[in-house]
Amino acid sequence: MEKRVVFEGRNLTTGYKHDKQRVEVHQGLNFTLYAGEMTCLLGCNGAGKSTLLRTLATAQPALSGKLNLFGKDIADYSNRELSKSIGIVLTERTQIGGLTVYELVALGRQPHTGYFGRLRTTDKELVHRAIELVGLREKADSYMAQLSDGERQKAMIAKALVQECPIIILYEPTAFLDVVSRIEMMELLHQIAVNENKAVLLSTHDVEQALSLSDKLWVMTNEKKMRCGTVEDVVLSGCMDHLFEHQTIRFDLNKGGYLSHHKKGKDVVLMATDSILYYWAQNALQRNGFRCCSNDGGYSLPCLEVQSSHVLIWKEENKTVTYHSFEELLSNIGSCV
Amino acid sequence: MKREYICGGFLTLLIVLLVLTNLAVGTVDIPFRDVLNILIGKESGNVGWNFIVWETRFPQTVTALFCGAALAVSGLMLQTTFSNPLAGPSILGINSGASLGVAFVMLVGGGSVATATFSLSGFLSVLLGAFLGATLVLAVILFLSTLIRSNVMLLIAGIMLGYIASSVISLLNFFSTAEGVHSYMVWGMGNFSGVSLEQLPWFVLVTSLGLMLSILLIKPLNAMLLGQNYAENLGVNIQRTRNYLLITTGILTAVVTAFCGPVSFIGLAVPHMARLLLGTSNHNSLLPITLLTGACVTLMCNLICILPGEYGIIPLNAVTPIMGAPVIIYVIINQRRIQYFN
Repeated sequence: MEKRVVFEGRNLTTGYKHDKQRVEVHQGLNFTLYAGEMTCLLGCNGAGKSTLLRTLATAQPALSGKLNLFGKDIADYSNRELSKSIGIVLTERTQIGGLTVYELVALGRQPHTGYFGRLRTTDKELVHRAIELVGLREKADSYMAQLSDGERQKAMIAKALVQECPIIILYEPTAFLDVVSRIEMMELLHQIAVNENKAVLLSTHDVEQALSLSDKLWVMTNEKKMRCGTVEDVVLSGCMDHLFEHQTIRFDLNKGGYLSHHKKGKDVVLMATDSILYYWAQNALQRNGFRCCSNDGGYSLPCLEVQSSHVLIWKEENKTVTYHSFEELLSNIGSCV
Repeated sequence: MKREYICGGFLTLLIVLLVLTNLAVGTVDIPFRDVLNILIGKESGNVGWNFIVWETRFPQTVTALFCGAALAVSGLMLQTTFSNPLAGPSILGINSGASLGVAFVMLVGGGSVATATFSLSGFLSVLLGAFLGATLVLAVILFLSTLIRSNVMLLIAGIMLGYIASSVISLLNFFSTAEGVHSYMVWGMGNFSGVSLEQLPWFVLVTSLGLMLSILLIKPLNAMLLGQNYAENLGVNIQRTRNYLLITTGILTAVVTAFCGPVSFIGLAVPHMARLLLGTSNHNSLLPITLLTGACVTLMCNLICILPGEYGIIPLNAVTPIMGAPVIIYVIINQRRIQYFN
């Protein structure tokens, strides 16, 4: 199925103008944002994620290049049209503790209501539906001040939903959340993108969740370029290593996350009865500066055989010791860091 | 029933009672029945009583009512615009700006309160002076708000502006005549008896205009609760809305300051009273309730002012801080428990 193109950027230069100074953050960006998909924007601090999002949300103009919204230049849209096209969710704290969840979400109807902002029956239904969709039905009459950070964020998403915008842009929606709320939030956003056919674009530092739950990735690399594509294509192209410029912290394709790889280290042959034991034994050894391999390749390397979490057999130069916990093992074999 | 309707009904009732009390109580003892008779147009036998009720008590009561509503609403609008619960016409120096305008007209224009209050042109020039002074300060504050991110720092900048206006007023006083200085001093203490019966329709007209404009701004005010970025995303033209707010607050503060003097604390404290009553910061209900609460508070202040009876009138600005300051201190102490702060 052909997906609808929402945003299209061609040769776009983002940045700021301060008096007569021109600060370019990115040059020649090319990207396409589709409806019905969740897109995660990844990049290190200062890579220009917010600048790009602000440009797309028309909070600041692009310095040059083309930016089309539904095939029409974004500069040709009026404020009111834009407020019906792009909904935003920010991380900034606002003074809304004195509004109930219902009142806050209802503010999202402002672009559609008349001069006094009076809500018609259809508006009210939309508000209730959005509150239900983000899972805040029980809290609809609670004040925002009584909500947790995650619930506040969800209320803001509901506000963006009732705006009835085809595009929702979120600035680091998972920034202040614990790990369970982060996954919940990303699943919610993905569900909104697919079920409501919205183009959901968010910036995040949570690489793990982005890789498992988003459809598309926009990766800002350290060469001031942006690589866009389906998650797996982007990951396998190896560009995740260019996300951060770091000597020893590299992207681990096996685990889909960043790991510290030390150059130095003692090689150890690791054997385990199942993959879970292998994984955690490797975790323990790598942390202590060992490098794991599966056979000794002719060099008589030390060997660790993990039979269960209580039976760890360490062989080194004809000596065989059985340890009964990782703690015991690690305190005896010492660290190579 | 909804909380705002209960509060609204209660406040309206309270206003009616306070209006009647304000009309019935005064230096001269007039039986309440006679006061009512005079008001519904039946002349009582006592010409003095007629004069007192119509020329003194009635304008004073109506002025107090509208003055409170106007100041409270302008305080609320400022608090939302600057997203700062401690903003208010007197804190931000808008009062002082209006005072400067009035001082300019009174002291430099050679006029005194006497000439200003008895002719329409005098009325208009005082009003214009106050309006220009108030909007000037507001414009400077709005400009500074683009440079100063911190709300506390912006308040301090506002206080500084107030000081500058006060020092210019002092200079004007220094070069003025004794009579001018005296009339300016009396005006500066604040009172609700500055509007005569002939000027009353004008006073009511201008304040009502300002209050109506403020009601038209309820929708963008609600959007601004979310902060500038969200408000812009909801289609609010920030620059234009700020200008409307500037003009409306300018009108309300100016007309009150021109005739009642720089009344302190009403604009700052009343929006908090209304929020504490309602529990919400939604302007749909908060703005009308603020308006009614403001009217109640000033009517009460006016009653306190005329308490000494034949010994004279207590200056208004001696009363308003006693009503307002404890509210602010209460709010500051309890801000962790008050939801609209979080």
